[in-house]
Amino acid sequence: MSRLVGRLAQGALLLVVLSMLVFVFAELAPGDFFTGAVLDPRMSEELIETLRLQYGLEQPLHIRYLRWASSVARGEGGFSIAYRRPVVDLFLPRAAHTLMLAGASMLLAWIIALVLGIAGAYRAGGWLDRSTLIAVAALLAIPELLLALLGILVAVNTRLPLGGATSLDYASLSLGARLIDRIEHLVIPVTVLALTSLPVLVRHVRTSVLEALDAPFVRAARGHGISGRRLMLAYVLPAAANPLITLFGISFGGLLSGSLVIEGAMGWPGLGPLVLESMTNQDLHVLLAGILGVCAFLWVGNLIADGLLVLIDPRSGD
Amino acid sequence: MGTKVARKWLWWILAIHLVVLAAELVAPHDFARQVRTLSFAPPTPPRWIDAEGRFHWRPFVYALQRDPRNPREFIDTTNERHPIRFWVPSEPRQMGPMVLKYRLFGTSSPTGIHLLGTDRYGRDMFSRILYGARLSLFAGALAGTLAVVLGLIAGTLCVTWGGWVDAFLMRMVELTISLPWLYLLIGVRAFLPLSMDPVPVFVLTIALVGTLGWAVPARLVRGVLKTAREQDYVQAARGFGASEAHLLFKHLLPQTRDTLLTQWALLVPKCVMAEVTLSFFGLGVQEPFPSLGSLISVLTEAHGAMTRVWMFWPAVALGLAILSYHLLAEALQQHRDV
Amino acid sequence: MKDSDNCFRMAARSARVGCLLSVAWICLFGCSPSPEAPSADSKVAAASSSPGATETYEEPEVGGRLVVALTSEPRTFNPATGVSQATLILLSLTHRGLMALDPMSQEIRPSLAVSWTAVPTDGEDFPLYRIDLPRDLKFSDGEPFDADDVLFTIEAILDERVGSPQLQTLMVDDEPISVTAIDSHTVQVRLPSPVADPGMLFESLYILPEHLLRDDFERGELASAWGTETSPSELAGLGPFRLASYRPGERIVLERNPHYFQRDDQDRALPYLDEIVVLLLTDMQSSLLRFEAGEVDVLSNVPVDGFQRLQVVAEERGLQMRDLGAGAAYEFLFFNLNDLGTESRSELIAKQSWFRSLGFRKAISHAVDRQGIVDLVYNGKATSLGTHVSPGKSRWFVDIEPPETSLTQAKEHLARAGFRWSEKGRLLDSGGAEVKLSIATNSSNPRRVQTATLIQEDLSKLGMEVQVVSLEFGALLDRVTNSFDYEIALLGLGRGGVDPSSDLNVWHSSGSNHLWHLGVDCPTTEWERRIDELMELQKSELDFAKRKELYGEVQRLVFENQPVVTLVAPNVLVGANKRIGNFSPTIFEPTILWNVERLYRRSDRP
Repeated sequence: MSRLVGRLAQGALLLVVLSMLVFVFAELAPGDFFTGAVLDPRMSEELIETLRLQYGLEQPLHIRYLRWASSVARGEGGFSIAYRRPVVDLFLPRAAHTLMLAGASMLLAWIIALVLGIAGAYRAGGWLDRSTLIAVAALLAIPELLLALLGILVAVNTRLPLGGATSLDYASLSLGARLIDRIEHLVIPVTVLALTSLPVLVRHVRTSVLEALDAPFVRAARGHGISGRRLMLAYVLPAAANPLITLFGISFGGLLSGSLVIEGAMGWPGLGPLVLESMTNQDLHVLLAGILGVCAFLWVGNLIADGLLVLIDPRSGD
Repeated sequence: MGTKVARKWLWWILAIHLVVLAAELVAPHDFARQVRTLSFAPPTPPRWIDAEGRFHWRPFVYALQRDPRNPREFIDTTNERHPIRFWVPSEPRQMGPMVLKYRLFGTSSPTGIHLLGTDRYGRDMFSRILYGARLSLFAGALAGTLAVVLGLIAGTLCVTWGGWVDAFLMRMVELTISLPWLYLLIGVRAFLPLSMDPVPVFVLTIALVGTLGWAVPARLVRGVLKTAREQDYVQAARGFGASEAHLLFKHLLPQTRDTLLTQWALLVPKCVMAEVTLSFFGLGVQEPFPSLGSLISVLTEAHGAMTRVWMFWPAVALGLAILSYHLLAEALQQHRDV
Repeated sequence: MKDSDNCFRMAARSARVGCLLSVAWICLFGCSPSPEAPSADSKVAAASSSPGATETYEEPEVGGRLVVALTSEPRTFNPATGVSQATLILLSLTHRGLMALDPMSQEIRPSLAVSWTAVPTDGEDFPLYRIDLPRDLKFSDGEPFDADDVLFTIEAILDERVGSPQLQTLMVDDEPISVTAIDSHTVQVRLPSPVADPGMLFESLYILPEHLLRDDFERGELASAWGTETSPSELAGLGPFRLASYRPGERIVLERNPHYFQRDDQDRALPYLDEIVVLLLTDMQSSLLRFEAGEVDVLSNVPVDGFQRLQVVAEERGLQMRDLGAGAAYEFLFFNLNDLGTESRSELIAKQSWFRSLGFRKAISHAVDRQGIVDLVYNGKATSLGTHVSPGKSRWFVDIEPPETSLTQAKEHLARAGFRWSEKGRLLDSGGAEVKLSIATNSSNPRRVQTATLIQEDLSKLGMEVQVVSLEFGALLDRVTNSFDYEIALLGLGRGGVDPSSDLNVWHSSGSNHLWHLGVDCPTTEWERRIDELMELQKSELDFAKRKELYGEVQRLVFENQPVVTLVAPNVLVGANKRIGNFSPTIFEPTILWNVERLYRRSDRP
């Protein structure tokens, strides 16, 4: 119990340090939110100065940090200069979409990776293993955005929706039809996103399983005539689980960040476009909220991974 | 299986790297030479059979000309063959310490030989891929290695020291993954000279990508070592009085090999793509110097490039390189006592 | 002029660095300049849409839905504070101002106003104008509109707490205009001093409903009122459409405003359409694919490459693609001519002596292959420029041919300016130093990096060693406007407006967009002084012909002295599904939607 409290304290400290560092980093980068406005003929110098003062951008770093911190304490999560609204208002309607997309694709990616990785390792060098490898190499060489565009091309030819999370006539649909509509809209983005995270998972699953197959006790079990599914489930997978659990924990961080680019291309109403825009704009509080979210997820993921590691091998937990 | 396979892939990878290392010699054109009349020209493949169906022993190419019916496209000029010659004289250029006066192959064709077509500016894609691959593959492999080594050290420290060192390093992992390095890099860029030569850029790329990439390998190593440490035979060895250092180097670290090799092969393409990000912020290579990443990213920036199939060649080249890195990693893993 | 780069199209480039380089790094976005160049191969297309062509409105069908795409999300529904491009486009559908730019004649014409008349002032210094407002006009929520709404709007915009970008427009020589109501449907405008085209002050000055916003204004909260979370029932405007629903990140649905004031020739109520669906698509490529698939009806600022591909499939897919010719935006090179003081930047200061030499600037202008840029970067969908006013701004365009591309002339200029060449062909300055330069531009705009790549090679033919430095947009602007740490830069301007006065901040030496030499108290050269003088004169010149002459002289001075090297004006490329009737796009924003009340949807494909 006290260890959990310790981890929680560490997590809190982590987020505080992270937020401070983000402020420092943003300070180092030249310009601020209004830099780009200089070329906008509608924005006079006086107006830009007024707005800078209004949003406290002229104040020293620590004051700006404290203002942000107090805004977080009030539950607003910071204030977006671009939208002139608390960050929470912007994040709430979008976060669920991002989590839905990322969660579904994470699930899909792990299922495919486990199947292909295990099957590939079982017949290492076989046709399935080799074609998986070629696919992995291809996926790694294709930029994510291009993959998304190819996904839309597929949609064009299959009558699947080209983007968005709901159809235009969504409001008039019955409950069942709405569910189907939502699922249809998920197909392409989830597949594309799963494909982008697939290479890392497949390769690690394959390596771990191959290594486990090679372990003395598995070979002994095989020698005793245990084979097939039982061998895999009872002997190989537990032995292979280690790096996979670690990866699983890390992939948690990707729940918020993994789909940033894809969302924009797919018209998925998630956090992606918002966070990316805040990065180019230097709308710091929005970006910070995104980064803290990612870090928190990552931290939770790692916590779960450490817990799972102890669970499979109680002795490893110190 | 085993060592023989590993050796085979080692030769193949060595061959790729030698070819790109000798890009000055192998490339039929200068990577920066623009021929504006040949914008987006299609490949001119070596031919053995001419338009009349006659066979020729010496491969040749046809010169390109604008299609009179569609001035945006090119067609072959079939009335004259331009044989491909090897070891052709060319303008002198520097390759390392040597001055080269020849190219490996070339032709007398007025439009030149373009094995993989040309880009927007009429620059030879084949030559650009060679030069770009040289930069990207070496930077990628070195940065990947750096990241893996740093991760190995960090992960080992976590397990051997445990306690607060472990907690500290793992929180650093989370920080490293979540921090917006981008802002720091833009900030750093402001202090660097306006224009930078390719060599410092190359070193900078490796250093940045390598040092930021340690987080995932570190966690992987830590996880593997934590379990490995508790294995029965390790405990037994400890019971027999084996020193911790002996255990670590003899029994524990070898167990991380497979995972790390896999991770390394996955990191290389990421480093290649990361270089594009760096270029975007003015930290990577800049025009007219090519890199595999920037050649590939052209595909995502112009709708039109996607319709010119030869613009996909850089992606194919990177795919092949990745494939061979993975095969090498596999071969090194399998070469055990099987 | 608005460089759309600061807005947010997450463009094409993106690279996944994944776990390696942090989340924040996962991608690179660029923003393409919004007027991504357009196209015309088709003289036919150009002609059919050229400004001034007589509009023949067909027999329209009433009802139906139009689907459009926006490349970024609106940031507010508040007309007083909207600045981002997406916000402005959206506001142009839901609001109307007293005056509007007629994109065909490029003149300011009454929009809501029934008439705009100058009132004789008996020799007084303050010009007076009377604006007659329409009677029986209602906001989209059914509440009546009258002169008080106009007064309230002006009062709000002029209030500093609101921080409206239009505050500046309503100031004449640093003094606010004053507006008074004569009766409930007539207002009188008093200007502090004469203004060349006073209607301009009210262009796109959207009328705010006093009944909904007065309270916010009194509380000093008007700036944050009408944020994107506002429920549609609390919004109202005088535009042809009103907000029906908004799904953040996904789409905005606008419905017909039943109280819209305009009617067509047959006295039918406008708009024809029932509904506009605005899809929020941050990626241009995916907008293109959806347009091609027929899911999006109209697309503006089509990138060149996409345009060509769409032209090929236009027949088959039932699309009408238009190249509208040169847009108002122009791309240009400029030299760092700022006063750097005596800081330790001796190298840059040495280079500035080249930039200050007219011969050097002219040489560069002659060496740049503008046609090459048009052909290779814009696939022919751009127009070479001799000056900063593109042929698209037909009302102010003065025919000045771009300098002839000629290495010989460039070399002559260099030789005359004291440069010479080493045995290896390298260019040396009069002190014997090699000429090495860098061209900085923003990486978010691939077209600019491509242009710089071409220029780099052009200049190397003169024996200069040139490097392209592509930087993130903010970092580039910081160098250009703040640290002055650059040599040559490549940027685009010119989306500000048609009127020459909107150019003041660029060409007047004290202007905030006088990028090549910022913070000038007093110009040092004769021609700079003359430009300042001409820009001041044209501001209050009431006679159009004289004003055009004054502005024409500015253009000639710019051409002769090349403080900037203007390159090309990208063409404006647009497209629409053939089902969309009355499609009559112009080069000014909102390109396709300026006549949105008259757009209609045919029930079957023609």
